[in-house]
Amino acid sequence: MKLRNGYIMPVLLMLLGALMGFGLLYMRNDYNINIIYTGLIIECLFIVVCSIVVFTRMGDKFLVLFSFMLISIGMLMICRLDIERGLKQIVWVGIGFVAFFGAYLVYYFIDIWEDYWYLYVGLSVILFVLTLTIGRTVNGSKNWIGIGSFAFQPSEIIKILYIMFLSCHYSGAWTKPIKEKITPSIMTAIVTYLFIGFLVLQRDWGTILVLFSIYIFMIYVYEKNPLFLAVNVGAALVVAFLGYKFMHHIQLRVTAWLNPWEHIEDIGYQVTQSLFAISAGGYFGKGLGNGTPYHIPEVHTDFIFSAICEEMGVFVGAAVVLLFFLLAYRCFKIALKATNPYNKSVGLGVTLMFSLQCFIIIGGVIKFIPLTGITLPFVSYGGSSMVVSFISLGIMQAISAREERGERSE
Amino acid sequence: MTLYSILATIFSYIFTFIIYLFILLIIRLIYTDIRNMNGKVMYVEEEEVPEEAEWDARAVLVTVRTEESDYFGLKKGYRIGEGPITVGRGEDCDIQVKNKYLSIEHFQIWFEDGVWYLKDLGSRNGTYHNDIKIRKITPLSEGDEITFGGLTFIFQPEYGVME
Repeated sequence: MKLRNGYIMPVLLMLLGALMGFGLLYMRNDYNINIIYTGLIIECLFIVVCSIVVFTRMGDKFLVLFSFMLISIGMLMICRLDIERGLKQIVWVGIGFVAFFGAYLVYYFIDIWEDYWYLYVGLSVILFVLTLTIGRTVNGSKNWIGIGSFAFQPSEIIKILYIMFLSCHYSGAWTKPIKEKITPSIMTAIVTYLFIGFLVLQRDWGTILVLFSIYIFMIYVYEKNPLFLAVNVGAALVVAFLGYKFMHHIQLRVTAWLNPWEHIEDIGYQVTQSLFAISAGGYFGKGLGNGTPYHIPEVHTDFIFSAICEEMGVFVGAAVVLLFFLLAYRCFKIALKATNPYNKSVGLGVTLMFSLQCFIIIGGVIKFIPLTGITLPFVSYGGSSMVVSFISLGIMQAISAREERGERSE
Repeated sequence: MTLYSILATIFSYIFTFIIYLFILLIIRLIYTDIRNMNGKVMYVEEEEVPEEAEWDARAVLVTVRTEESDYFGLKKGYRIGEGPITVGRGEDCDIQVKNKYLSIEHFQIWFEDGVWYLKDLGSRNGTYHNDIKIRKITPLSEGDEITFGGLTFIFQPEYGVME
């Protein structure tokens, strides 16, 4: 078949690029054989997953390609920064693949997602309360739950639950008001502001931005009453203004965004270092391992994009943005083609989540918008982010598979 | 400059090249995909045209060409008579498609009293008429899409449809 032959070529290119990169890192780290193993394991995983997706006809074949290219770039950078973290990240990628197939199978074979909005809210609230009571504080945000040596970010899981909750209403599955006055529209608004309240208590500004933007876009797409949108946008502006006026934290962010050069010693340090790194790289970069990315704080998670720009060049940075663009385009297409309204809505939500996260963090590190700490899906170091990105991808894959195979019998 | 830093610099150029080639190839694949999605014009092999006197009514089931339709070896189109024409996975079907998402007898098309009809034969994955799952006998008109198990036919009557 013609298309399948065309599919091999990009896969080979991706594997070749990753292999060369890991070979280079092998030289750099005193011929540490672990790096070669890391590279080979990840390439084998890619081949296995690509084959499974293509040969079992799991729907759209391009989603995995984009995410694997992004993971290759991210893994190269993380291994170059810190080989210990690279080895840990491999484990997370492996768990991510399991989560990917798990989410795919669960979402594909279970069809009752649209009936349990209260379950999603309940689970999210439990996670929020757990975070606030037994959570750990990392970098000023109390958004980690630790069980022994294992820690995860509940806010990542809440994003998916929130999308599934919103879809219950906007797909038209949940129309019954709770009391006489509280229609589902108002209830979704209440839940949204409740979640935002919890997140303010955790000081997790990045997640607030993502959740609220998803909400606004969902209203924009689905809500027939323009007044509702206007009220919500108005409320957002008021909250943002009040936050800026009274929250020291947010004031600092905005100041650091407007003029980081004046505050280069303290609050502007992150952004200026990130900008220095990007400009130092030039178009083609200094070469993997030739740069000095350690000046940037949090370089392996939030600021990984700056490190990529420094060592691999602005062109590769632009390619990362392009890959996200293509990923979002594919997800949009899946959402457009979906016939089941709930799948359509979830598809839109996941698309929004990927694209907004990419926009917020890349916009933040290049000083386009105020910086809020959030992970770049598939690229940043971090277990919860990787697993949740893969779960979202699995859901998209299931939606597209249902379309391609025709909806299953009821 | 050490050997390593020279290699790393060369690598950064090669890697940029690889990643853009990757994106280019994928965009080309996606482009093919979109073209197949929109290009619903198909050609029927002309030599299959039977004598007009043979049938009272005639129609063409035009295949919407996708990767899947190629994979299952669907023809560009199927000329059908007044039927009933059965489509499915089984040996006895008039149009046999060996797709495991099809039932043995999936759906049926026939011509009766000047109207073409479509009926689902109790298939597991259902038959869709213009993206709506059919539950009873449905009359067909020109340009209707019949979707089953991920494959789509466009219904083109040649004559025999009452307006």
